[in-house]
Amino acid sequence: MKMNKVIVNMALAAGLLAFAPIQTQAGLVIDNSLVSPFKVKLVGSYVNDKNKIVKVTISNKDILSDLGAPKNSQLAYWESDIVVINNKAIWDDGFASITPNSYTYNTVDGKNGSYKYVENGLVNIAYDGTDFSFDVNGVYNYRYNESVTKNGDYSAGENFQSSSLTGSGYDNASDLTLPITGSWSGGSSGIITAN
Amino acid sequence: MRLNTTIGLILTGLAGLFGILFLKYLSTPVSQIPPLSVSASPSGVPQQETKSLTIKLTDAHQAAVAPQAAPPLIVTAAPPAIVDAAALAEEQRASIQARIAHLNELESKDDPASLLAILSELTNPEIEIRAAAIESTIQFQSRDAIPVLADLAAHTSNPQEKQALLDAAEFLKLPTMTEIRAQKSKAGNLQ
Repeated sequence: MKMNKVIVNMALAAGLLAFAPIQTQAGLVIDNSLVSPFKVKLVGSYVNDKNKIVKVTISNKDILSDLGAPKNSQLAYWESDIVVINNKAIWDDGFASITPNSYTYNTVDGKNGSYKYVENGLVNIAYDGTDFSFDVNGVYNYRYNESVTKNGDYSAGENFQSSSLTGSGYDNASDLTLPITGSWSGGSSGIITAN
Repeated sequence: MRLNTTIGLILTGLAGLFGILFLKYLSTPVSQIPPLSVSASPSGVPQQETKSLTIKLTDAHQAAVAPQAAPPLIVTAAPPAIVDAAALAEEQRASIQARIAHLNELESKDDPASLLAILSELTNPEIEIRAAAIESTIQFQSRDAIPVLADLAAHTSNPQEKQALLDAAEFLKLPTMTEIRAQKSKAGNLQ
């Protein structure tokens, strides 16, 4: 009890409890693989009928709307694929691809079977939707770490990002190609059960 | 001899009476003692009454009726070595991850309460949560966030964070592909 109070006081002193606490929760895991929220943020441009260069953004909700995904759906990275998650289940996949190229990697082993993996290279992300599509490339990095928990399962975490995506987009109805720049990021953590 | 005996008896009686009164006072329960609030009252309390209570209360009484007199609960109450730094760091990391996961859920919604919850995390003490909140603000796709982002950027000293806030505001100012396509369906095409 006293220890708890000490910890709480230390946390308060550090300003860590400035907001209402949120229940700690493990990240989503499907088929023993992490499901990591996937965020894309792109800006395309085109010339309009008044000779003005117009910029347009593409982010997750545009893609989810284009796919006709249910409300509160999320894009996620799962088993080297981009999927739509709804109600903690996969609602759709196969509409996009994410392909690493020319990458280097390294693994550093830690204590008790833990390890950290880092990968760096070029990535291609291609989306083929209903009304529009895009194909972008950029330098990315990917980090994964895993450690054994007390009951023998694995605590895993991953994160990835690319802030230099460039490529092109295409609007089906207008038959218009758009130059695109942007970024992509994501990550999560969760418990992987031992086989 | 008789006078001396009488005086002696009277003195003995008085001594006995004082003794009984003293013992009675000592045996009085705490609840019957006037509340210590009188000593806590800064004014309006007779000086004499406060003084007598202060003198006669035992330490146990004081502790019972005056909790503010207890030593403050501070870290020095336990040696620093007792605090498990690794466990604390792990707890902190889990808390940060939980908040970021919560932000990811909120950004997929479109109600004002979710936006407000995201925006409130833009001032979280943890920079990792603030960065995630900026991303979630972008993904939420509401222009209501633009003045908040601009205002925070104006008050942020960290140049990278300031730029991230300004970039997010600029991103949200632009039309989205969904909006452009909705216009296109009225006008014919993007151009």
